[in-house]
Amino acid sequence: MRTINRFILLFIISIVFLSGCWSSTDIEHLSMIIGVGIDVGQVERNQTTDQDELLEVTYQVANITETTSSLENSEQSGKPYKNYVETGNSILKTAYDVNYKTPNPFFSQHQQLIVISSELAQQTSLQELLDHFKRNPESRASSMVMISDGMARDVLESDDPTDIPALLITGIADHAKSARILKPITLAKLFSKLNTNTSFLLQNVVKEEDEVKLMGAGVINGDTLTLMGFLNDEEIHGVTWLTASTDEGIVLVTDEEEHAIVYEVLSLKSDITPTLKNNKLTFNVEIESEGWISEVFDVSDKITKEEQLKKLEELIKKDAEHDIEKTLKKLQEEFQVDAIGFGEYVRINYPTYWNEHKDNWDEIFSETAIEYDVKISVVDYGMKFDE
Amino acid sequence: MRKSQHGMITPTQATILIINYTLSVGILTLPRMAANEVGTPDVWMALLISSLVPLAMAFVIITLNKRYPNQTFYQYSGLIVGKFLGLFIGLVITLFFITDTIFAVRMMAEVVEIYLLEETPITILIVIVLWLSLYLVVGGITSIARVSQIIFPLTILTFVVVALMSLGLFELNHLRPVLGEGIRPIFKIKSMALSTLGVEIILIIQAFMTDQHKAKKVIFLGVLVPTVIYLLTLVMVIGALSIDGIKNLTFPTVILIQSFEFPELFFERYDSVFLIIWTMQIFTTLSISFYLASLGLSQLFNKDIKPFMYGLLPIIFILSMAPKNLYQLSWLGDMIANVAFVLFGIVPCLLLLISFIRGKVQ
Amino acid sequence: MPSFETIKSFLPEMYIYGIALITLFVPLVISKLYYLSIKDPSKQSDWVDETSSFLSYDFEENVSLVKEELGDSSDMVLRTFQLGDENLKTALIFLKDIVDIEMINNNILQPLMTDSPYNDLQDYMDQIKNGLLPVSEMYETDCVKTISINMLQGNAVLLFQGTDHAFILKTPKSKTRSLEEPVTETLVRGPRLGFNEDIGENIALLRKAGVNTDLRLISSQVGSRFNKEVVISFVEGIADPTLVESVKRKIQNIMIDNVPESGIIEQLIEDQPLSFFPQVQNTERPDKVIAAMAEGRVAILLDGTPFALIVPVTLSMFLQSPEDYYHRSISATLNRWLRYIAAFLTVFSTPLYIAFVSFHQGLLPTQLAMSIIGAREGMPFSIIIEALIMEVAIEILREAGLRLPKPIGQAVGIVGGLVIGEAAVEAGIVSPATVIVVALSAIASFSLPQYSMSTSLRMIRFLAMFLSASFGLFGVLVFFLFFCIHLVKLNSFNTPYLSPAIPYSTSDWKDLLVRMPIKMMNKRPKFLRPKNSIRKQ
Repeated sequence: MRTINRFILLFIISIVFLSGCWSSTDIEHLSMIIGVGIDVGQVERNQTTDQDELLEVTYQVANITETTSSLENSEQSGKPYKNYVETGNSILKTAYDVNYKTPNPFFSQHQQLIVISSELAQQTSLQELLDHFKRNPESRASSMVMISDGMARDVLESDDPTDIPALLITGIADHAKSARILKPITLAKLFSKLNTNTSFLLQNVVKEEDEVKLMGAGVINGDTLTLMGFLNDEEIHGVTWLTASTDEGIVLVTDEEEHAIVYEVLSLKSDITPTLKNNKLTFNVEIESEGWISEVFDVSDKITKEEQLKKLEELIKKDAEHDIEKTLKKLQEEFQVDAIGFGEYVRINYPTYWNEHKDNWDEIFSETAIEYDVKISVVDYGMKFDE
Repeated sequence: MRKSQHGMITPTQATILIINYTLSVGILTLPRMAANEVGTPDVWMALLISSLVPLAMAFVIITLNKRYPNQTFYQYSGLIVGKFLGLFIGLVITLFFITDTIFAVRMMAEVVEIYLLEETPITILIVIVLWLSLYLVVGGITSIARVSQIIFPLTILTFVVVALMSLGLFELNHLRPVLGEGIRPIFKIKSMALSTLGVEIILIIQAFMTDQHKAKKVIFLGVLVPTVIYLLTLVMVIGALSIDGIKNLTFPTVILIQSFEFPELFFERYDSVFLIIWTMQIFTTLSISFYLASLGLSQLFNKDIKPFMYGLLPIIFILSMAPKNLYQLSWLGDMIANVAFVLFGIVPCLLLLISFIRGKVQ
Repeated sequence: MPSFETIKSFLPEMYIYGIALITLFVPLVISKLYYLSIKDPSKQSDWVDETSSFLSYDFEENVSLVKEELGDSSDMVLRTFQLGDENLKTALIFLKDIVDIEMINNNILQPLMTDSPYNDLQDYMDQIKNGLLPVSEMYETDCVKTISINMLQGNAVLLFQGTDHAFILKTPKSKTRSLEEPVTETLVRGPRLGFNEDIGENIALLRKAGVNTDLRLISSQVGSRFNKEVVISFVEGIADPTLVESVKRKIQNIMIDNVPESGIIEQLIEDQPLSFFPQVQNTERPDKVIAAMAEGRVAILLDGTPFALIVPVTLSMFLQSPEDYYHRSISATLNRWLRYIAAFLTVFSTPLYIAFVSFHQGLLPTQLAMSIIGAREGMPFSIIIEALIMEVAIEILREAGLRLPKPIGQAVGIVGGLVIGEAAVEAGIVSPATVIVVALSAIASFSLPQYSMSTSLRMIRFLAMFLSASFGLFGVLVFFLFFCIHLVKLNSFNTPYLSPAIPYSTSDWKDLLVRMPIKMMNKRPKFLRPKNSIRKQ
């Protein structure tokens, strides 16, 4: 009896310990996807396969052997990343196809960036493009989503042997202290926008003369969830003024003698109040900013004297109002969508009105009058003290 | 003062048992269910109102228990409604706890399967957890209470840490407007009242308590603490992802935790850490129901409890494999909650009434 | 019938039933095996208590009885002589190597032989009792067993013709080493004194360390063949009487032929011999024993070993050191935290590393993941094998260092740790990250104050590693829950093993995670159920 019992015990222990490891893969046997780029499928390059290959997906995989290990021969080796390109009509299918070419299975939990080319975004709804990332429990909800005015695969290329482009881009987006770059939009934040069919802005990333640049933003139409067009840097700055989305940034103005003066924003507040009168909606935006003068290209430096202060503030205010005006004009007249979240304030302040009109909000927005008032106060002149 | 008598629990332990039993699958799914049912950012108010339901139920239950001190419901239900009907009610409650165990263990295995161990067969996960649970329940209610006491602070700590970490994503606008669509939405409390149910186990565990006069405090804290934790979950999830953002996410809380990163700390992502703590939490839930089911059988048939524990093990395992997918499983969860409402809300009321009438007759 | 079809569709496949059977039988078999292995000792009735014989009035027979009892050993001295005018036959028996010959000559033989005014047997025996012999302790007995035990302890036996009583005279020569600082429990601050192998000396140390009228010592004998003295020590008025009773009962129930060391007693009196965790504390430090007794615990001392046992014990006590109380509260608290962290790292660092690297790679920061991949590129073994190689190597090194003389032991440590580790990394057999993690867990385990606990933790770490390699974090969770349940069920002399943490005993938490200033610790730990709980006014 005892021996039988012992055998059973041994059997159980071996079941538990030996049959485990189903899900285990040692870390070095994984191909870490850092970034994904999605382009329109190049049909003519793929004559061998079916015509309906809509997508061309670029997978940026960290090529780790050459980045960290064996420091002594890192110079002679190749790039720290490797891009795999595959066409197909779904994201997952391309992932499976491209996996035939890689030594290790793909691993997307370190994916930091999704870049969608403008061409594709104009044709296809983002809802469809990002559906896989929503369903897949492995995908990282904190990865950033960006639009590229150009080819996404170009953005994910770099000549610099030390950079991984996807990490470079997310790094810039994370640290950039600029009023001309949008706050990064992650997958998790995007889901709610896609669900509610809200129009919104997506950071644009382009490749210019072998350099990756974050400039401008794509405007996504809430109804179709496709790209409508782009806002440029100045217009982004206008968005920043209106929504006070960041406390960082500088304003460069020139006085009448063409001297450049830099105003560095210390604080930025905007108060957006919708008013509903006779079923007619108006917005009033109060923008207040404090900042200091941190650079002046003028020998006499008379601009930083107390008596000139009003003039200086006026200059900056003009610049801001110029940006805002341009932005609003573009959004209201050209695109006719509310991509900067003014609807949110209507939802909060006039919930019943919002419920009635939320489906054609973009139309209403484009016809709504938006009053804005900018108050600039220069509180300091930097670490320079003149008597 | 504190007697380490076998099979007895202190009021603190009873409170923690109730809290642990209440906090289960709802942590992951409640935000979605609430968002779909209420539809406005006022869900948190609805939650507060809904917490009155279990509180009221618990008051009826402890009033009933007070009439039969030191007896579990299984033992005294026969005294009220007669032996046969008492046995029937007892068996239904036992069946409820068995189903509850099945739901908890399967849900746990599903979540572990999705987020932690993709390729491991679900059967293995369930078997391992059931063995662990058996090892625990064989030790009786004292062991379960003590293990709950270990897990409870870990849960609270994790929750506070997660809440603090997600503050960076929190946007107050997502919780506004307050009462934008009037007062009506905050009374759509069905799903929330059902998720926050759990205090009903006082029906049985009160008999094991050392200071039974403290039952009121026990149920009050037993409802308050889970409500606060659920409230925190709701506010954090909705504040970060907005009502509309979570409506079609299976586990919105996990998405919330996946959306922030703190690479400067040792981990970059915290969803697995959170899910591990949640797994521990649900382990106590399923162990409590497992124990209460075996206790029911043993007290109804007046036999030793251990054979029932061993016997229930394969049954629970087989039945836990019955649901085919997450949808069927969620349906089972809804059913359990509905049945719980009838079983622990209405039946005790009736029994209390009968007991009053009978008491007067005698 | 559609409803039947629906039900049928929910029935699981056949193999599920097979697994269900396994699910049922595995715990059944394990519990059966468990109960077989800890069979009730009282059922083993083939134990015979040897009945003892008694002395008679026949002198020759008495002498031969005593001789037989000790098997006529070569070291036994039987000195027979005749006293007085009536030539009263007298025998002095002792074992020559363990008695003080000087004392026997001067204090026993000399008074007896030279100035003994013998006339009447009864009168003479009274004289002996009342001060003829200048010996500090003297007993009368008629039990041969008692005589033999006393002789073994170094006492001399005096037999007279015509009486059935023998005198036992205390004449032992103590053969002990000098008092030294305990090697296993060195402190920066605290008394530099440890027990040694002589129980008399140990009791003296206890008496000196805690001058207290309430200190009680209860002596008894253990070991049926190789007899040893065991002393239960506690403070009357503090220790819970039921605790003292249960210790006494357990010591009396010990039925074993030989007790070479207190470790045997420890294993015989603990509740759960199959547990991974020690349920009795051992120490070489008198101050620790006194401190334990002042909290209401009971100490057990055994002759022939410097290790005293303390019961009951809890997990937190194994992570505390007497120094916690000698240093100031803040630094003591920090040190205590350090030890808790070390205990955590001992058990969990390697399993968590395995889980993260082979299951949950997404949790690691991207940069860290990359550097680990870089370091592990081209490694021949899977991570669990790699970790096992290193763990086993370190365990062997530890064992080797223990056995060797001190200077060589250190050399082995250096050679093993540095050379082998470095070479293994250079050769590409193990990755540097693994070496770091394993070394960290080894060092953490050495920083624990109690050797028995650190061994336990190191052993369960292997279990955690296997589980972690099979199921990742879930495996670690299973491990954690398993040991939570195990520890929660574990009792040491009716005290929950995890108390005062679990079950919550809030008033005792001032000495758990933090060590509050002595000024605030007014009461004795409640979970030990002291009779008198006021420590300080």
